[in-house]
Amino acid sequence: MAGQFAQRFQLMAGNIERAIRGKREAVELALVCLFSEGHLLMEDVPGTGKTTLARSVAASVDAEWRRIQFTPDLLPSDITGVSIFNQAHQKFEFHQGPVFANIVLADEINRASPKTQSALLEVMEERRVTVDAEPHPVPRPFMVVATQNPVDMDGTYPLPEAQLDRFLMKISVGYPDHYSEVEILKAGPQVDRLPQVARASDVAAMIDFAGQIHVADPVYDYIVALVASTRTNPNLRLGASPRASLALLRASRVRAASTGRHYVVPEDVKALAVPVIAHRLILTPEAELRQRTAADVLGEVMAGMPVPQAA
Amino acid sequence: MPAAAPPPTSPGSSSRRARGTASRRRGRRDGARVAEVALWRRIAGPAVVAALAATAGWGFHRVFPAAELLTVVVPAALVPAVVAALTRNRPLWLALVLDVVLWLAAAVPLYGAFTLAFASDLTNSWQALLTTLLPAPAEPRLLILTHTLVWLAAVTGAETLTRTRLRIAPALPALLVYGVALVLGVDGEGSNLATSAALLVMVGLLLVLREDRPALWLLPVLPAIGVVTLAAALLGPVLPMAREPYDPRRDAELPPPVRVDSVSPLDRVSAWLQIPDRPLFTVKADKPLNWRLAVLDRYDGVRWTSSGRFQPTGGRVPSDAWTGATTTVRQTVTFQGLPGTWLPAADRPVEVKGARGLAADPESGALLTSAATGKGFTYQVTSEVAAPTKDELLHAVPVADPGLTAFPAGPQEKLFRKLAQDATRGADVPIRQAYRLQNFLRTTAKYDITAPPGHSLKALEFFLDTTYRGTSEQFASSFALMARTLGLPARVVVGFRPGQAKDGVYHVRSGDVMAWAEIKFDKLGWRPFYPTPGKSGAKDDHDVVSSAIEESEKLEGEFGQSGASKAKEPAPKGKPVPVAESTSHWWVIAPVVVAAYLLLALVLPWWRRRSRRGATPDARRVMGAWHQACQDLGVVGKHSLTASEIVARHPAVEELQPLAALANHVRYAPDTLPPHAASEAWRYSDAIRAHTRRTTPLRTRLTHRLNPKTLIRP
Repeated sequence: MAGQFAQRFQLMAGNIERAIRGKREAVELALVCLFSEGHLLMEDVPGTGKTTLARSVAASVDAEWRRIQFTPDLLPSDITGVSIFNQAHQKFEFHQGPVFANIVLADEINRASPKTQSALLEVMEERRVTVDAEPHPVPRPFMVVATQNPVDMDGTYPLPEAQLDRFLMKISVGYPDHYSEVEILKAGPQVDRLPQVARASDVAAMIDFAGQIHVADPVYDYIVALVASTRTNPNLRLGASPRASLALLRASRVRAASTGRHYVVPEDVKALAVPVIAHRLILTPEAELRQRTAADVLGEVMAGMPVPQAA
Repeated sequence: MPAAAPPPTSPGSSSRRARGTASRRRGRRDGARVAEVALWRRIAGPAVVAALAATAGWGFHRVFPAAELLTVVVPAALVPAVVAALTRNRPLWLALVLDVVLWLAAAVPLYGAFTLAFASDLTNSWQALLTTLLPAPAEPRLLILTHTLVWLAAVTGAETLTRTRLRIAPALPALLVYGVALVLGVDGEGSNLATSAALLVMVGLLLVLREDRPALWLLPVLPAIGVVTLAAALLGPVLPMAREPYDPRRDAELPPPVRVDSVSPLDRVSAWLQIPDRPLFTVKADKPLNWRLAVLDRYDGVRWTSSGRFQPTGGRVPSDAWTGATTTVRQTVTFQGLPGTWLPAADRPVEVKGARGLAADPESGALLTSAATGKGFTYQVTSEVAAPTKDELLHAVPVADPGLTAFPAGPQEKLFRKLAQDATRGADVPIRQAYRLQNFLRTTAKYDITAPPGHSLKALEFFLDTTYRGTSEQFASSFALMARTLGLPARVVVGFRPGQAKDGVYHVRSGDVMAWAEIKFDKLGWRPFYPTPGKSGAKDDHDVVSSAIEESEKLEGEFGQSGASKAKEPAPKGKPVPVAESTSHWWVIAPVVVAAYLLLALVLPWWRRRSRRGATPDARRVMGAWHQACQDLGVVGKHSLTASEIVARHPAVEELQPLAALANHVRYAPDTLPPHAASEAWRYSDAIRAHTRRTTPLRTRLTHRLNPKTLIRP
């Protein structure tokens, strides 16, 4: 089974890579996020392919996807939907917003007001929207792929910590290398021509399978020790929460399955620690002044932490 | 009635019967020999264990006096061995209950009566022994420790012997107790070499007894034990740890310095001089000496006090730094009216007998007692009086000790320093400075028992600047402080002149009280100086002081003649002469250590590899193959690396990837290993080893092999 999972995973990754050239790592991380039932935050400068990656993921799956362009005047109801009085039936009817899709692309999420951003909170964690005290579940699989621009910060609203914590991963796409950029120029935009290589039900089944990947007790200990060490690190003002431990475990299981293994090894944990944990950490002012990043600190923590030696 | 006919027999049956009878006879004979051997072993085994425990207990002979120690050790070693031999076929709990009851019963004669104090004594005896000068007094509160340890060693050893087939284990408790005895007795007198040899012999005997072989087998083995013991006895004293053994007393927390007398003896000087005829004590001694009472080395500007850390002692007092010629003086001191807890004795006492509650300051050798000292209180002291040669005095160099040259803050320091510098002008060596200072005070000021008492800085300033009259209290204090301004480590001693001799006994009265000063020199120890003039001028009426003054004047004269040339040689003032290097046996030890390390570096990796390859189950073999590969690749002690990271660091080693996968499978997968996985893992590991040998230069491999990190952290 793990072999089949790996095969489909690689097929999807190869498919997406036709649109995003030379970014295999980012593609695989996005897929890990998808099969972990997590949400993905992509932060990078304009034009590096954030939106393309998100669209490619959506295009590879035969599932419903929507795009929301976040702007300062966007209202919460523009995302979740609204109840409208139907005079014919003499009752309110709920009109679903764009969030009711399998994959939701929240483009430039930091341009919307905090009120609108918070509209995403419930649906990201609870996977349902409550309007007029009535819950409306979103379809499965459900994934929010948000993008944001680290430069040109005028008129933006940085995401609050609570919302950042709800993203399973935060990744950067980065500029392509010379060869890949030449290929992009030659091939032109490919997103619309990508074939659908998986159905929504396949993705749901793969998610269920990944949840059953075996994790040995020492690996649990390793995850907890790694996350706990961020809470006592002198360079960090805020460490990672237990939600981060859960996220790292889920993602590690998917990564193990994506390589055809039916058990998690510490490599999985180490490989995913930075994208899963770093965006949840807040550096101390002294560390920021020394130009340190959360990824640096996390790297140091991992370098000093022994990996489990026996099952 | 006809007699019953014998049963018919076949021709071969008689010969079978004959064979059977012979076999039974032989069997009986063998059985008897076995029973004889078993009986012999049953008696000899517990006897050897008892002897082992007793010998281990004898190891405390550097801690306690021998006679008292034997009365404790022998029953403690013997009784449990007898109990174990008698109850060998009974349940263990019965033997242990008997042992506990007998142990309690044996503690009764030790204390003289039944008491529960032994429980607390047992707890406190460790600390008490570590803060007691050896030999420790043979008091029950201290002996209970030895009693209990030996008893425990005998019980454990004898029960292990009679109830198990373990060979060396019955000797281990005794060896442990002996280890305790060695550590506690490091500071004591005597040697444990013979005891150690005896223990070794007995351990060897025990090993032989535990072998299930006939007694004749002993014949060639006994000489072998003798040879091993002899070798150990010869090699033992050469080992560095034997030359400088660990002494736990260095780390033990000593009692803090306390005021041992409500009235300082120095404060009593003037009072005693006012009523000079009060009999204080008598001393029966071979020759007249000054009887030292108290040593005061700390001055706070108001009073002199003692910083001595008095430790209980059974009679021995450690010697001082002086290792040269001495004169032994035996004294019997009897109190008549001497108040306080200090005990007078000639400097330097080395042994005291008959004083209850005796405590001594190892640094100064001053004595005191915690017992009541009324009229008739008597004790015997043996003192070793230093007799340095003129040459040794001429070349004496003061020790550098800031605590002994400290001068309390105050405006008086200027006066003391100026007077001292004026008095010692032209003196180029420390001993000459001290003599000049002594002479200055003896000739400048006058002895007057009516002078105002006190030795505070103000009082001494008044004495040196205004009255020029005082008693030995002011003279000695002034000398010590002036010496300190010159960098000479000085202290004040309160004692008595020899007293009036009558029938070989010196009668010391209160008028004989005298304070003098001492300066500490390297190797010489503390040397006395007498700055107090006699009643009728500079000369003193008493033998000891007069002869000391004459000696100093003689030396002063020699400085004038030949001393000047000699004086150029001494070491600089205030800096101690470096102690001569003790002879070392490192030239023997070093090659042995190097050879042992090389052997270890050669054998240990081979042994590790062998044990890894032969480990069970298969999962351990796979992990062994992985660890072996990591060791061969030089990945040692990098515990934060995952298997993939190690693979990534060695991309050229193809076999590493599948081996890492197998290792990960063993560690983290829920299912069992595929068949032949262990063999496969070792095939990869061997290939990696071969690859490493091919690609790594010999020098690098050797360095890696000899690296201690590789040996310690595989």
